Amino acid sequence: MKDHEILARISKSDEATLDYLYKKHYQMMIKIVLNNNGSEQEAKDVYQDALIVFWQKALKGNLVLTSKISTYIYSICLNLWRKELDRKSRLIHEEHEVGEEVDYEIEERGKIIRQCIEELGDVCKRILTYYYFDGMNMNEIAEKLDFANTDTAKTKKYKCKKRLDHLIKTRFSSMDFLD
Amino acid sequence: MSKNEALGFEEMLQQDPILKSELANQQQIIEELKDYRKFELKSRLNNIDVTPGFLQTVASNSMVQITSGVLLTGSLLVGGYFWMTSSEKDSIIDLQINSKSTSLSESEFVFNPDLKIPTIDIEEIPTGNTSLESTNVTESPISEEAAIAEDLVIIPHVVVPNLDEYDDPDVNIDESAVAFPFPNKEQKHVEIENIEDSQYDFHYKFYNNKLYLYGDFHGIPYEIFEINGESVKRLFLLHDGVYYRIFDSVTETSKLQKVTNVDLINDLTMLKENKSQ
Repeated sequence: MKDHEILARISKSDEATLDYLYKKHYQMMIKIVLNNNGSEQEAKDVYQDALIVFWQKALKGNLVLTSKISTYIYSICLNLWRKELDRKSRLIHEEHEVGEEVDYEIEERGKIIRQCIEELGDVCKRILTYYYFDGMNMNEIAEKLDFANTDTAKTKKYKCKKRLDHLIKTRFSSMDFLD
Repeated sequence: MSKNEALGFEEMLQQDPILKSELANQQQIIEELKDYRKFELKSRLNNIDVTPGFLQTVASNSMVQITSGVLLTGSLLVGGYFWMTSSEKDSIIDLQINSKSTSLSESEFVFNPDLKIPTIDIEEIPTGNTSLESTNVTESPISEEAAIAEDLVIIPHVVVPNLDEYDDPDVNIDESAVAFPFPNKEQKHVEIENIEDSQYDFHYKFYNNKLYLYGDFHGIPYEIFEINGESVKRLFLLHDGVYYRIFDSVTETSKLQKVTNVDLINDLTMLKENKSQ
């Protein structure tokens, strides 16, 4: 599969193309981390994150490649692993006592949000994640999910978001943590 | 949102802590939705089998790479050798001659009177100054296929000693041991030039694959026998019923040596008769 073909397929949110890319460059990409003091799991995480960054950029359709896709992903991997190494070195030298309480509250809230997302129906989950993560517009979502038209997608998205907010509000209250 | 709207919104956020809290909540919900999708995609990728296949595993092994490299190089060299030598080796006759020549001694040489030698080119050359064109030994009229067909029949009767042993003219040669090998299609015929020179009589020399004959042949035609072997050729000159041996290694003007071996003379005579039939 050629690069332009890959980009065209990803712009249509073809996840099979992501699988193809992942498998194709796996051995080459994980070596970046493995050869730079990383574990296999870290290598896998970095490569997957890099591929997802590429996926998001390609989906938005404004990605202009001046190199091969493999080179582009390689550079993302390299940057991600450098950031991870920086983060690790900072963690060693810094104290984390300050702000621990805040992190705990945010973490608890995030846990509840994740539970609520899980409780949403499959269509709702897809609409919301396509919209917020993949950056798809209503027309693309309607096409992807076989809705009658854009308005249907818009309405469904509104209802799904409202339901999620409601679920979160009923489960979460800052008072719970103050008690 | 315009710049003014953004500024107004910022002011409201500072003044209204509930709005600020709600904004933070919504931002976290969106982040969690993004993370959910990311987790979903990563789970999908995790389920892909990325273990290298057998070929990839084998190919990535450095020992296998070295071994295969050596094998490939060897194959190329052997293949190249056979390809380069195929023109010489593709003749069944050559192969059979080679195999026999290694197993039989000179003393076992038996001449078959029925032997047909297709490559003996005999041409009668008039005496006197003869132009180069008229004295060139001509190509055998027998086609290669026909020659091969004939040769195949007579191979079992022929024993080929090592002809290279007889290349030195100074060596006392047992001429009966000289065999009549089969033609090498790549060999060139010898060009001949006759030079009347009172200083030399019945002399010859080779220069640049050309035979120069010196002397006066008294108007009697002479014949040149060119017998091509696998890697060497034998030349004989017949003049007035007498055979002379010509060595192509002689580059200085030398006297023609008479063939005295009776068997060889008989063989040459028979060959001459066979050719003329």
